[in-house]
Amino acid sequence: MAVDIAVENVSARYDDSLVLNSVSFSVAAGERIGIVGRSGVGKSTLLGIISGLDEPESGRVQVGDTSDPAGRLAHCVVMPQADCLLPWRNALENAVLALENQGLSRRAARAEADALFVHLGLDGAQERTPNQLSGGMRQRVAFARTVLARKPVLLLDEPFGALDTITRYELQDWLRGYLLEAPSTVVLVTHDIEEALVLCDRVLVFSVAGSLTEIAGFGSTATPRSDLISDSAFLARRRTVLEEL
Amino acid sequence: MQPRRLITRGVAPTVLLVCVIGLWEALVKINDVPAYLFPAPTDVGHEFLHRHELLAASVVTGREIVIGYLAAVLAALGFAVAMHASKLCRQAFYPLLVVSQTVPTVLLAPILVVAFGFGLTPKLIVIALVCFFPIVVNAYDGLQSADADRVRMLMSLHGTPWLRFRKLDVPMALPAAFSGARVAATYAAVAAVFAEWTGSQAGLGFVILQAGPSLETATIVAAVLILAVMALALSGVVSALQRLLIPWSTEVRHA
Repeated sequence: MAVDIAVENVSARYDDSLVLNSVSFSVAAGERIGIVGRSGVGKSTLLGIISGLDEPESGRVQVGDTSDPAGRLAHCVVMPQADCLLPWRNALENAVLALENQGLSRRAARAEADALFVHLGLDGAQERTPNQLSGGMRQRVAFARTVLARKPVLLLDEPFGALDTITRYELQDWLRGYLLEAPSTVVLVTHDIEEALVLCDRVLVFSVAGSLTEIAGFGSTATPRSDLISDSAFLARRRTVLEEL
Repeated sequence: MQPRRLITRGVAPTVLLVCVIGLWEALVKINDVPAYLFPAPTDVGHEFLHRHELLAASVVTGREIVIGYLAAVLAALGFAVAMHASKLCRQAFYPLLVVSQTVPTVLLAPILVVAFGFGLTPKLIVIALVCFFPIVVNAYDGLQSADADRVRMLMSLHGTPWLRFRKLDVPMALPAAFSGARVAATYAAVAAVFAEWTGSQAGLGFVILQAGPSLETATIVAAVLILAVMALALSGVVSALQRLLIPWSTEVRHA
């Protein structure tokens, strides 16, 4: 079951400088929102705060029915920009970390992960170690690991930031397909405007001046990505985001 | 490493060693240097074959090295974990550990002999003390080395502090801990000799001490060579264990 998120007047510092100044927005259950902004506007800091891993300096964050950090963390899973795969585990063992942590048997965890590996185009790569995987595959394993935490809120921090353009497009495509079917609430931090518009229902633009603008995205549109990005409505909204930045 | 590469890599140092030994033998024989001044390799070889107390002494020293070293490993890992787990422990012990390194540990041996007598105990303590530091510092640094992203990732995957310790901190610490253990392995033999010099009736250190005044130089060289082989063997065992237990460790260093 998806849960909603409410961020109310959140302020936060990063290395002593104020990066978030009384930010407020909400995300409906099952909604996918993108957060776009230049480097240093506090996008990642915000994800940390929503997840409960960090606390804001002031303000309040509610995820589902809870606002305490442990409760928020119980609802949220974070996928950092680096794949953070553990080199001493193979792809499958990396993916089932969360299931293992919950005490699931090896066999049950493996069965669940195997199905997802097929879905993510990773079938056959289960036994490979991270250094035997391509950048795109590593990122998909990291995504599998994130999804297998079976939490209602996915917080994705620049999930494709470290990839080359072609791989990035491919992964955006399958993530789009995946998210269309998944009931998860998603907050995607990215500096790629196109990625945010293609994947999300709504895009929040953080300007350097500190203002926050909402722009509708195309995350729920069935139009294939290739057609979408040349569509005039898409291009117009892309321009709007750019102007807001 | 592949067997073939291992062989190729072994060839050059072996050839060099054979040349050095050959030159050594030739120089001693040509110049007719007496064995008590500078023994030829064949004199040392003769010692190996005929001086049977070397074997008994090697067993004594070998036992001291192995037990002392294992004690150091256990104590160091215990301390590293305690300092990692408790801030108070870290604040209390870490500075003292660093400062303690300015004390030449082997010179504590005479004091330990006074306190514990001429038995095995003071030797084990000296060896353990010498080997302890490189292991504890490296293991502790290794335990602290998990990057923030990985920690946050694990904590958001239904992680707990205990799971973090088991599944992230400990594996991350192993490469560094093994490096420390390898360095310590090379210290152990020297520490054993120093310990035996301060009071013992057996061991390679004792043999060296006895051989000095009676100018049995070849015996000293033979004992030193045995000590070198022991240090190499211990360090080799640690390296082999590292390759066996954490074959991924080279990747972590490059990551």
